This record gives sequence, C-alpha cells and structure tokens, in this order.
Amino acid sequence: MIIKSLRKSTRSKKLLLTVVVIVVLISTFLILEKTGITHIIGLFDNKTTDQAKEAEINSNDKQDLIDSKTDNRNSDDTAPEPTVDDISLSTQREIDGSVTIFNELRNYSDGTCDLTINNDNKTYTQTAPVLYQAEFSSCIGLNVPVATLGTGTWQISLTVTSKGKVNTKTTSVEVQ
Amino acid sequence: MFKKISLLVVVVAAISIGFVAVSTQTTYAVAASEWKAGNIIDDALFTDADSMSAAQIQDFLNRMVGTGYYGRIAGQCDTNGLRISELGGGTRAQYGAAHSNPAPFTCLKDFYEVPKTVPGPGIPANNYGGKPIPAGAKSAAQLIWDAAQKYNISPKVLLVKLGTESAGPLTSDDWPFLKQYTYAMGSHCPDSGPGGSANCDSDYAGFSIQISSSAALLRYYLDNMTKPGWPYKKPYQINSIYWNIVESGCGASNVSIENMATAALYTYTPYQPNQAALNNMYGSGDCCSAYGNRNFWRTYNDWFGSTTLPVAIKSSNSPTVYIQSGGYKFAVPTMALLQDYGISSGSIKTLSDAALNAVPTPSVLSDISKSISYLVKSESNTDGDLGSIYLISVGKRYKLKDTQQMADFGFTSDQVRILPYGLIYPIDDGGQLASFISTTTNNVFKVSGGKKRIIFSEALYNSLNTSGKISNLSKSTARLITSGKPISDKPILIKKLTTAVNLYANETYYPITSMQVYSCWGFDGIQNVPLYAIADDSYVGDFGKPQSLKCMVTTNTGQGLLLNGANTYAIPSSYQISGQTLNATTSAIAKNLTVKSNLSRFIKSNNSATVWYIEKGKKRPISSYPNLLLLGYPSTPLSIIDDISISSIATGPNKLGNGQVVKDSKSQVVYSIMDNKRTAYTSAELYLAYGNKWSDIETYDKSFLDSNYPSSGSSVSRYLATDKADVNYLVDDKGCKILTSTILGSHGQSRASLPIYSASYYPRLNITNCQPLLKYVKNQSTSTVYYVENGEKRPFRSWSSLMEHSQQNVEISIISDSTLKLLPTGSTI
Repeated sequence: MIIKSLRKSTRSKKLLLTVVVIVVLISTFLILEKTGITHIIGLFDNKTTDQAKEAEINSNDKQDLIDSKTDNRNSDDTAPEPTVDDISLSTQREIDGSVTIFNELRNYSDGTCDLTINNDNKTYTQTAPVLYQAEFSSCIGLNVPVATLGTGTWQISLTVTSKGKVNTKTTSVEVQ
Repeated sequence: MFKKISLLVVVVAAISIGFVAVSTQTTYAVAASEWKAGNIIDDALFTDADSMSAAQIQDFLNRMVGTGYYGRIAGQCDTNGLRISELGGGTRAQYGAAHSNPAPFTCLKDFYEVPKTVPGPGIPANNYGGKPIPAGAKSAAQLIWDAAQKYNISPKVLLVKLGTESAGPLTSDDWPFLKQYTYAMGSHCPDSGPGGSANCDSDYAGFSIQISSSAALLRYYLDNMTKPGWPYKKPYQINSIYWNIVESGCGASNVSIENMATAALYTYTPYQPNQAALNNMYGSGDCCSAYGNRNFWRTYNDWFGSTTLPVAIKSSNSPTVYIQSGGYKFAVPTMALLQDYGISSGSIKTLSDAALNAVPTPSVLSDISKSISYLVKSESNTDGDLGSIYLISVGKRYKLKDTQQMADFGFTSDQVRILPYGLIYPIDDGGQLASFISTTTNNVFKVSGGKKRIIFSEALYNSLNTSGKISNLSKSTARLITSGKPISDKPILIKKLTTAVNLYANETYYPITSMQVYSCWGFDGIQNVPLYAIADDSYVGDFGKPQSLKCMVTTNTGQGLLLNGANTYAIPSSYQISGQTLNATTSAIAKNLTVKSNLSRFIKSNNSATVWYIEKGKKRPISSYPNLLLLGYPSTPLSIIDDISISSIATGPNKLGNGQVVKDSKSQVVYSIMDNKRTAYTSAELYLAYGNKWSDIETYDKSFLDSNYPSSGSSVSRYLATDKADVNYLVDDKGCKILTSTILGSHGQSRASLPIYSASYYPRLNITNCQPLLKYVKNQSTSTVYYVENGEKRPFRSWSSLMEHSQQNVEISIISDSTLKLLPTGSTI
C-alpha cells in the first residue's frame, strides 16, 4: 500500500515537472517575441499571404539600396552629366494657330531653358525652368503665336543650362 | 492532480493563443475590383493640406514605426539594433556596422534635419545616429507638414508617397539606414540609369528637400497640366500609360484620367499596375508589373481610408438621398447630416432609378447600417482605428475617448451605427472629442453628465477650459446633446429667439415676460447685468417651472419694494400688500435699485386712467376725480407703476372718500360717506346747506352700498359741535352759523349728542364765513321774529314787544324756514 502510493507520487511529480518546463519554454518564447528579439509569430500571421509579399519587396529595396544595386541613391554617387543627345525637340501647330515647342530632356533634374526662334529678321526668345519628371524633364509653356514671327521656316534653338553645363539643340520647322 | 495540470495546460495554451491574436492586426484591405485606373484619388483629398496637423503627423509616425517588415513592436524604434537582423549578419547593430552604418539607428519619428531650402551638394545637418538635434533642425513630421502647407498638398499624400517611394519603407522601418533618408521620395531621380534605374540628382539629397521638392513637383504638375505644351499625363482625356518602363517592352494601355490628382500621380510615377499586380495586391505581379501607383492607392486606403470622397446620389423619382461609398449606398436621414459628412446638398447627383437601384445597400446579414448617422464606428475592432466610435460633424470625425465620454454626451451604444471603415476614415480627423464644444453659431458649451451647458462669458470659459481643447460641431449635431442650465458665475440675462428674456441667477431662470418688468428691474441700463442672445432656443434647458419676475417684490429681509428702475418705491407695511418673494440672489439684484420714496396709496399705470387706492392689502378703484380729491389727492401724491404690479394686487370694492355723497339707483335718499358708513341727508335744503351740489352725487348699486358703506342709522345733523365749547355750528341754507354753548342750549341741543365737526366729513362746508347765531331769529320770507330759548321759538306779538324784550338793542339772525320749523313754537312774547 505504501509502495503504490509512492509510485503514484513519483508519477505526479514527473508530470508536474514536464508542465513546468513547457510553461517556462512558452513564456520564454513569448517574452522573446514580445520584446522583438525573435520574430517567429510574424512568419505565421496574415502577412504570409499579403503583407509578407510586400515585405519581401521592401526587404529587397532596403538591401538593394544598402548594396547600391538598384540606383545611385547612395549620396556619394552623382548622376551622369546630360549631353545634347539628351535633348529632343518637336513642334505642334495648335488649333489657335500658335506653335508649341515640345522638348524632352533626359538625364536632367533641373535647370533653365532658353528658347530662341529666328525667322527672317525676326527673333523670339523665351526662358522657362526645367520641370523634373522621372521619364524625361521638360520646359513647359514654350508656345509662340505665328503672328510673332510670321510664316516661313522657323529656326528653333533650345539651350538647356543645368549645373553649369550648357547644351543647345536646334531644329527648324516650316510654318505656313 | 492530473486535472489541475490539465487545467494549467489549457490556461497556458489560451494565453498563448491570445498573445498571438493580439500580436496581429488586420487592416482595411482594398480589392483589385475597386481599382479605377482613371481615378486613383479625388482632387479634394489630394490637395487637402489641413487633413492632418503636425502633431497628428507625429502621432502617425509614432504609431507606424515598427509595423512593417522591418519592425518588431509597433511604436518602438530598435535604436541600438539589439534585435536579429532580417538581412542576416547577426544583430542589426552588427549588420549596420558591417555596412558602414553602425548603430544607433534613428527612426523617422525621431528624425530631425535642418531644412535644405535650395538644391545643392551635400546632406543637411541632422540628428541621425544619435547626434544631437542641430540648431534650426525640424522634425520629419514638421517638415512634411510645412511642405504640405507650402504647396497645398495633403500631408496624407506625402506620407503615402514616403511610404511607397522610400526603401524600408521609412515610415515603418525600426532600424533605418541614413541612405534611406537621402532620396526618400525619389524626387529628382530620373529613370535614366542603367535599365531605367533611378539616377538621382545629388543636389536634391536630403530628407527635407526630398519632401519639399516632391510636394513642389506635385503642385507644379497640378498647376501646369492644362497649359499648352504639357507633355505628360493630362486630366479629363484619354492618356496612354505604360505598364512598366519603356525598356521593358511591356507596352501601354489607354486610360481616361478623370481628375487632376490622378494625372499628377501618373506624371510623378508614369506607370499603371497590370492585372497581375492588382491580383496580388500586397505582393508581386509579373515581369511587366509596376507598383508605384498601385501601392499609393492601396497604402492610402490602408492608412487613411477611401481615396474617393463619398458621393451623394438620388433618383429623380424619390427624395431619398444616399451616400455612395465602397460600392454601397447609405440613406441620408437629413440634409444637415449630409453636410456634417462634408457633402454639400448642391453636389447631389441625380441618377436614373435603374442606376440608383444598381447600387446595393449593405446586406441585411451584415452589421453595417443602411443609413448614415452622427455616431458611427467601423465594423471591425481590429481595423486601422481599432473600432473607434466617432461623432461626425461639420465635415470632421471626432473620436470618443471611452464609455464615460459617451455618457457625458448623453449618448448610448444604441445610437452608434456601424459603417464601413472606408466611409468613415476619409472624413477629416477632428481629433479626440473634447469636453468643450463650440457650434457654428459661436456658442461654447461644457459637456458633462449627459448634458451640454452653455458658457456665455469668454473669461469664464477660459478659466474653465485651461487646456483650450474644443470641438466644433454643427447646430444639428449640438442638438443631439441635451441642454442643461448655463454655466455662469454671476447673474446674466439670456435672450432666446422665440421666448422671453430670462434672468439667470444662481442656476435659476426667471422669465421676464414684459418690457415693463425688464425696465422696472433696471435691466435697460441701470443694472450691470449682461444680456446674451443665443442662436438656438434649444441651447439652454432644464427650465423646470420658472417663476416669472415681477416688479412688486418682497426681499429676503422682508422689505416690500415696488421696483421702478431708478425710482423704486418702498412699500409701507401698513398697506398689507406683498410682492414676489425673492431669494438672496435676486434680492441683491433688486436692492441695487435706489429707493426714492414710499409707495403712495394712490396708484395708477400709464396705460389706464383708473386710480387705485391701496388699503388693507387690496387696491380699490376710485370712481371719480372729486372722490380722489376727497381721499386726499394731491396732498398725497400719485405713484405711477406698471400694470403687472397693479394686477398682482387683489382688487377691492370702489373706494369712497369721506364726504362723498351717494345714492343708490333705486332710491332718492342721498347719503354722505363718513368712515365707511353712509349717513342720510334728511332734506334737500340741508344737503345744499352743506355746500353740496346735485352733480356731486354718485349713484351705486344698493347692494354695493349696503355691503361696503352700510347705513350709520343716523342722519346728517343740522347742528355740529367742535372741540371748543363755544364754537358750534348750525348748518343752514341761509348761511352757516356759529353757536355759543348758550345759544346751542337755547336750541335744545346738547353738545354731547351732536356730531363733531370734521373737515373731512363735511368737505364742502365752508365754515370760514359762518356768522354768530343770535337768540332773535327770523326767516327771510316773513316778518315774525322769534326768540329761541329752551328748545323753542317764541314769536313776538309785536315790534314793541320785541323792543321791550331786547331792551331796545335787538339784533336778529336770519335763518332758514326749515331750521325754524325744527324748533317747536312756544308761547308768544
């Protein structure tokens, strides 16, 4: 009778010890997660379906930035200087009869445009700031009424000055 | 024992599950079907520069840090990099050290930088890496707010741009590198690098100029996109928009851009998401997917709710107006509520019945209300605002702090309607609902105990609301809160729109029902009691059963006063009239008025000719001016008082003065009033002898006279005594006579039995011309002379008899025949 009772007592102590160990392990896990030292729960929450995918992109963005793989976002780098080949000019005759000078300035972040148009002895000049855009920058508002220079072959010259660098692109257009 | 252990295991498991549950937080997620390439965000939201204050931006950054992939605990920055790096390399501190960015790390919420105002080389001084905050530096939140204000761009838009353009992103990264700040917005980073990669202009390096230049670009895009020569995306027309960079060869599709904000976004980031990107809203699509504008749209929705303002719609055949949001329509109970949701009634779009019916109402199976309401919450307690309850008013949502504040405002949970997060959250954040509210009519209230209490005095308001926090509500919203009594530290006058002015003193209302009362209390200039007009009668409440103010009052010390502005009267206690009983507060106000004199017994109002006589607690009308004179006017002056005071005194019967001659309508007997009794004149001669005229007689009902002036039982005497023995009178129509006591005795009259002469009893009897009465008398019509003695008149037989009797010294008084007849005739002399 005494032996049976002792056996039962030993079994209970083992069970109690097991539970205590489990509790300690769970508590340790929870504390580590709560304090942010580990991040295991996050792997199983709903970010696995949606936000985790985005997180993966963010992770790559940050790592790429640190490694300077994607762009020159490292402040030590500088963008290459634009050349005249980075300027393209085109014209469009508007309904009101005026002529708009479209320009695409690649590799430009800012600067100033100086537009000069000659026709016969007449000259038209206009200055506009470079408006940045990711694909190509542009100088906006270069619009000239035909009456200003009259009809004929307009010699168009666009000089873009940015960070001390001057590039001039020319073209001509027949204005009737 | 085993059972106990099992229970313990269950408890531990439950705690663990609970921990996991609270560790995750779902957000408001948009679906691919909701994406509209032509309308990414409404113009009004895009340019709402006041949608967040600098403090709200800071609060947002404080909450966001640690919530993304590079984050462990929301709201905490891993400054020292103690946690394990997500990028490998041991702890974050170790990783940073190995990659030229040793700890400490500075999170966005803690980041300060000296603003870089013009493009130029270098990165501005900042506090990154544990450095002290440089002089002139501003917090990231302040820099964002400044840029929003300067360029009139919503700070929410700038935050979303920051959250989608920066690596990390910065908004949630809890161990950011300095590099992440340098070109955080991708502003002035042309896609001219290899393979279309960013080629950033180092003149725009630095967080502050990245924020300001990106806001400036958005503003410039908005301001110039409709001008000739605009080479980028244009609003209100079809644009070809690439799926990805040109170099990818993925091509483009046409998009009809519906507004300027969307055109600006496509100009800033000139790609649209393809279906693959939309199908995997939080992840990657395919090789042709671009994410900039998708991420902007999704993140804005996640953080700030819908990118489109609710639209009000109705059909042409029904007056019911709905708000359309999130694909559903919600009925609008009142136009005032529509305006409180920030939608003007003029912007309601009229649809065909079919079009309106095509917009569904929320499912009956959901908890979402079919109509909007002032008190709302979103359907989930785990969404972006954690199920906060809001009060909607004047285009703002005010967050209720807790159930106590609900009770303070008198709201119950039954009043709260559940609406989609996407409908609630885009409404401008008004912050936490304050315990002080103002209305659009410039009234302020303190709200507590389920009631709002108006405060009129600015000084008092400032002393009560030391925090200065106040929420502005519309009139209609304010009406939802029951009004209590005003809060005032001194007596005030409250002018309501539709009812009387009220004196409000010591938390009690006293209606002032007439201008007379207003004036008698001196509120028209004498009293220093401010008058406040309220814009809505419902702004004051708890009237109870107010007692209207009166001009006739009794102060708390028992002093009767007839208030009359600067000429207030004291009411003698002998009048036995009492006015409205005042308490200490109102007594103090009444006593501010100067008492100039006692109230006269004669009172009248300016609005009536009736003069009243105050006697024994009643006012008694005085029937005529002669009667007024008999009662003592003008030696006793007249007090002109207000009608209300007069009417407050009980009315008694007509007052007749002593000496007033009266008769009843059914009799010819004329009486004289003496001490509230009437005494009859026994003859017309005697009546006239007393100086009366026939026109002096006033006629009354017999019942009136019997009740109020009963007969004395005696008649007016021809003989009157005075307090002097030798001055007695015979009132005779041939002139009054003065009788010595001897002569009086010879007429058979006893002084003791005669009435005493009083001018008040015999007001018309002129005694100044009375002549002494002699013993020899005669009437005017006959020659017979009488000698009066022992109560008889003895005629003389002859003139000689008279001469003999008088010893040749005869003086004869002429008296009336009626007097003579009263004396029995004795033996002839």
